[in-house]
Amino acid sequence: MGTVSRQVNLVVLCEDSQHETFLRRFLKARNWDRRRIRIERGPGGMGSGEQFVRTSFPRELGKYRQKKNQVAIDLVVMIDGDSLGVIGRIRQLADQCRECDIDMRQEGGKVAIFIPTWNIETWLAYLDGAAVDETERNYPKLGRPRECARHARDLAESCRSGELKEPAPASLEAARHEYGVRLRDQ
Amino acid sequence: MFKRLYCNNYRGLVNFEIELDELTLLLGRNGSGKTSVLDVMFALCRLLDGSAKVTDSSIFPERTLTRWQGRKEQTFELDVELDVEFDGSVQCVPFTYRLEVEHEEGGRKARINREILAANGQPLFRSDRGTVQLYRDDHSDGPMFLADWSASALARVQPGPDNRMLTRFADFMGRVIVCSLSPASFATEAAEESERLGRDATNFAAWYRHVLQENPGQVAELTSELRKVIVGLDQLSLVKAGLDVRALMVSFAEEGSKPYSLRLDEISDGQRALIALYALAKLTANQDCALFLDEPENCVALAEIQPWLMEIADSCGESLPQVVMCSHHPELIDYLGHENGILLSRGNGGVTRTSKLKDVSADGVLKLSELFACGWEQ
Repeated sequence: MGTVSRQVNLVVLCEDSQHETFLRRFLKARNWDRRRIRIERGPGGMGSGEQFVRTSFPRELGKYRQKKNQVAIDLVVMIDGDSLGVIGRIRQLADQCRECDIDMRQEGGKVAIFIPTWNIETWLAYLDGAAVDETERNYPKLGRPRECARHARDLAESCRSGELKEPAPASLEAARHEYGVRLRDQ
Repeated sequence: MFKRLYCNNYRGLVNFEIELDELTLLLGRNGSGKTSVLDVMFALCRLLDGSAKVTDSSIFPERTLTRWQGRKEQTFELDVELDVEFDGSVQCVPFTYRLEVEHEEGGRKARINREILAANGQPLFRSDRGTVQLYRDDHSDGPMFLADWSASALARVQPGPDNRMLTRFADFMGRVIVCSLSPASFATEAAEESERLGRDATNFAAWYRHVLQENPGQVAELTSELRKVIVGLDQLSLVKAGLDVRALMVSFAEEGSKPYSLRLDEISDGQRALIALYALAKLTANQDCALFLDEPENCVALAEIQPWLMEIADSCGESLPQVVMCSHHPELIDYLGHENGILLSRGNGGVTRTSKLKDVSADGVLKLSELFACGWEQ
């Protein structure tokens, strides 16, 4: 008699439900099955999502490295760039990994890091057709996280066609490159 | 969608008010009042769909009076927002419903003292001690009549061209599902269709038999989802097991073995729970149903909880207007707690109070479930 069948192939580490909803809808549009995805997101509270991802990253990376030879598994991390931007945030994550004695990048590692800068609202505003500035922090939040479905679908379509409408935020271009290099569509 | 519930003098719910969202998770310690909230919703819905009387044991029996109050009246209020169609255009209408129940000394009788429905703050229905005044959709006076005090007179109003708002409200209340899944006691056989899923969902097969007729388009989607969830599951079917009786069967077609079927009571509790959870998510889609579920994760394998929560979160506000759940489970607490959680706790004098979990301090390291595990949520 059948047993339940879920086995996770993609772990998503992100700050909050807006990150999660956007990523999941994007991944769905790239044919990832929801049942193959495990979400680990921040516990909530002002600023705590960023701290949660930063401190959880080395631990999740350790788990990923331990399991990757037994299970086909990818890791997606989403953390806002805030004032650090993509390079500053990557450097910070690398420092965090070094403190935990773990290499952030390894040959062939399926670990993609997306760093919306200033934050996810910057990307959403861009996908809504606005000209955005990544040093501007006050793009409006959506009424409800699920309202990003359209944005995620549009982004998946742009990625599929290979082009983002110019001028795209540099952090989104970086994320698109990261997805293409580190992950595979299902 | 339900926006607010107010109760007074019902178990620990004294002058109690809770605001509900599209997706709400009720959290709190044992005895904090979570199940009481669902019991009130169940009672109001069954009273308003006309399937129960006020004194029925699962509605408002005398034992639901707050013991230490010594008062015999109970009051309930609902604020509900519903889309109502008028001449081809849809308007979002705020409804307010109020029910006052009085119990006789000794608990032998109870009656509805007052029942009021208003839309946009204007009256649609008023019953005072059995004297009913109806109002038309434009709030002008309609007919008056006398009604039985022990049941909802609103539930007895016949739909008509000038009471579309009242009818819309009553119809919505009839579609609300309030249940605690008890998969071990699901009956396999259904002698008839059941429009309403019971409080413990033991009539799941009969309800499935009903929704199969009501929403056949969704069955393929349910089957497709269940095939992913339970290895080898092929389909659910209702098989003749008597003159009018149908048994709910689960067919398996696993690679390398002969296809076979099992009765619903021959599969595991967890598999029954998964079938019911996905049936609730899929078969109520686009049916204007609100779901109130008590500890839906019961019996379900840990790996299966988050995918079902994602299904619910993705449907909520779209194909499913509203889902309210109670749980103690870390998966639900961590997934929904911060943004959708309402903490129920017993304050001074033992009455239940609510607070948003957004107000519970999170330091970015401890998960909410860890705060709950340590009792630090209060």
